[in-house]
Amino acid sequence: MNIIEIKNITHRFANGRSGLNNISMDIARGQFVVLAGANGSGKTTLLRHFNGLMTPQQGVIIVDGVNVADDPVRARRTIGMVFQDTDTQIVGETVYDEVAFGPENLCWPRSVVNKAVQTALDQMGLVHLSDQSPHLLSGGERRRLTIAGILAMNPSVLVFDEPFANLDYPGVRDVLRRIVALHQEGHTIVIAAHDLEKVIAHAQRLIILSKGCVAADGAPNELLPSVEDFDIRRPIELSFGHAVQSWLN
Amino acid sequence: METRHSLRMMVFASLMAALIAVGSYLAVPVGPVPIVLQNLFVLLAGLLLGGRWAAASVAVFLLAGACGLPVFANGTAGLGRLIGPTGGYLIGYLAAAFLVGIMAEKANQRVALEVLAMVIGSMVVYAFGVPWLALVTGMPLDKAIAVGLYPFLIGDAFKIAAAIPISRAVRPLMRTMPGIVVAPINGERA
Amino acid sequence: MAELSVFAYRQGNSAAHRLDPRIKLISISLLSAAILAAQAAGLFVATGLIIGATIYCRVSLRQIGHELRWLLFMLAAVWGIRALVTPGETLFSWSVFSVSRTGVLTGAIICWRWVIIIFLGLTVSVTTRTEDIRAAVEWFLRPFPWLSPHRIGTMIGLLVRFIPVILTHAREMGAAQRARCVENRKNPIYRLRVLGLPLLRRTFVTADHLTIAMEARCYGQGRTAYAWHFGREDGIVLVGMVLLSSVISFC
Ligand SMILES: Nc1ncnc2c1ncn2[C@@H]1O[C@H](COP(=O)(O)OP(=O)(O)O)[C@@H](O)[C@H]1O
Ligand SMILES: [Mg+2]
Repeated sequence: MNIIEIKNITHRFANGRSGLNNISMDIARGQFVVLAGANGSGKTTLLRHFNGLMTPQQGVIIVDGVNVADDPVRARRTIGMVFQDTDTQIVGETVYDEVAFGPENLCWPRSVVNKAVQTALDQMGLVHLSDQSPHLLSGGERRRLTIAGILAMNPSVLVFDEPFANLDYPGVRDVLRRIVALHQEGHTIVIAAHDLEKVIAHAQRLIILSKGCVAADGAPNELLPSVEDFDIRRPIELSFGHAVQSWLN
Repeated sequence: METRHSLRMMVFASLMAALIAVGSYLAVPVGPVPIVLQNLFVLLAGLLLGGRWAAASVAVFLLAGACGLPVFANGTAGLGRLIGPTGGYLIGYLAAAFLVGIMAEKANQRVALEVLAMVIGSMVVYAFGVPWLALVTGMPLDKAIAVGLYPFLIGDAFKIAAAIPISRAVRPLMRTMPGIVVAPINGERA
Repeated sequence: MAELSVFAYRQGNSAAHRLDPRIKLISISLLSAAILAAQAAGLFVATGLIIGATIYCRVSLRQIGHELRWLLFMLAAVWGIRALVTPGETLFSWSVFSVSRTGVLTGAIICWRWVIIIFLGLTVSVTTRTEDIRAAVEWFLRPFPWLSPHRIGTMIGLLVRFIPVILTHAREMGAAQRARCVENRKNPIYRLRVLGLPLLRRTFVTADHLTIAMEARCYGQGRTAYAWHFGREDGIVLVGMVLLSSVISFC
């Protein structure tokens, strides 16, 4: 059963530049997908089509059986999207309010909102910070906060755009551990990244974008040897004949 | 449902309000009187957002401050600030942002008209600020003008001169949203 | 600046924290109006109240003095000017300056009122979460739907959220420019432009990202209602404040 089906989408920007070129892919429920590509290859553009933030000139996107163009709000509830820059996506003045923002927009009753927020804060280990101002959190905590803000809406797919940008080593491990745990709970995971080493050990599928086209799509083990053709750095272990190591070990 | 355009204008206006609040902390030291950036941002709100949204921006700033949120200089808040000696200037910002905004909409990016709009806008700030200053301090109007208007005129001229190139550079950013063909959301045709 | 100052919200569970935010806003409005009308006797009552409230909020007076030093300076200036320019019975004079008795007295009353009203605002800032103030503002605006209270509430929230973010950007940028000797440039228009432009540009880009992030989380006109808790204490406080305000304004 595919939760996301993308059929031949093409996106051209307002200035005439081509962003995406005839892209098709199906993402199965529960899959852990890494979407890789050099800067400017179109990862962010593609992700924003998943929940109707951008609309293609051609092609359709179907999320959980429904065309996104017909019901973008449903797609946004099904797909939780964590953007690259934490500073520019946090809306709330406190950690609690930030996580409550999504559920409140869905007009859930207050008690349900409170419960969803508590669960999400707990999952991301932020309960003790709930009255803190987001501005005072560390980079890792802020990243976890953005994830909690999405989790509270109870999506089945979690999409991360460069989730490890600007994080230190413990921060990367912390966020990665939580993403892997969310996958084990049954969430479908899509991670866009320009480098593979931090996350590829956990991926079930690797999709490589290049200049707005799907350049390769398959099992990570098969694609890894040739990723440097697409301006993506090959994880260093491969050069020594080892398998890729998880950053969690 | 909000259209993307109105949501975007609302976010612009809110962040402009935050910039106005922060502006009271930012100064360029020139001569004896540091030039504070706050009213530069008020003028820019008018130029960039148009009358309605610029007024909304300043109004939200004042409303938040009046209700006790720490948005005024030095984190103070409350009615105390608005009824204090400098409160008239803050109220004047509201009128100025609105006037500059509607005049800029009509000016259609002609520099002379935009400068005129900002000159009028700056004068409006003093039209509220100086009489209030005189009233609170009990100074005669001419003395109030001497301490509450003249020292700032040169700075205001600099700000108006700087606002023109700044608005020129920022306007293209506003025209279309990066990465987005202005698209209808939530089924609504914008 | 929100968290750098003593005026930021402080977590707590006092009666003042628990009070319905609408009652708090009504109370300070009433008290402020009363204080503006009050004379010395009423101001003594209000001062007692404020000192009590400040101790209750556990904000140190020294910190407040430090934060408010500019305000206190301005206050002193206002008092001084009043004393000098108000005509009346001369208290003492020195060359062309003469200090009048009425000037000193009216100046004192005006500044006193002002200090009290500022402290009133302070007690609200320190004991009320932004979210609560925002909900109260939305509630008061409800009779005026053409003002779209929901939107104003959101704007207030974003304003408070982005003040520290923008202030941090601005400080970083200022430091980076000073590191490259911007201070050697004497042209004020240039200085205003290089400080203002990147800040504004960054703010607009931030706003664009924020718009998308809000859409991705289904922001629309509807919103879960705020959970009001109007209890017996709130009613008592409201009645008490009405009485107190009348006492202050009439004595
Ligand atoms: N609004 C836009 N107008 C024109 N070109 C754009 C716009 N947004 C993005 N691009 C271009 O599209 C390409 C893909 O961008 P993006 O999806 O952000 O790449 P990635 O996320 O993989 O780094 C880039 O070359 C970028 O410059
Ligand atoms: Mg990207």
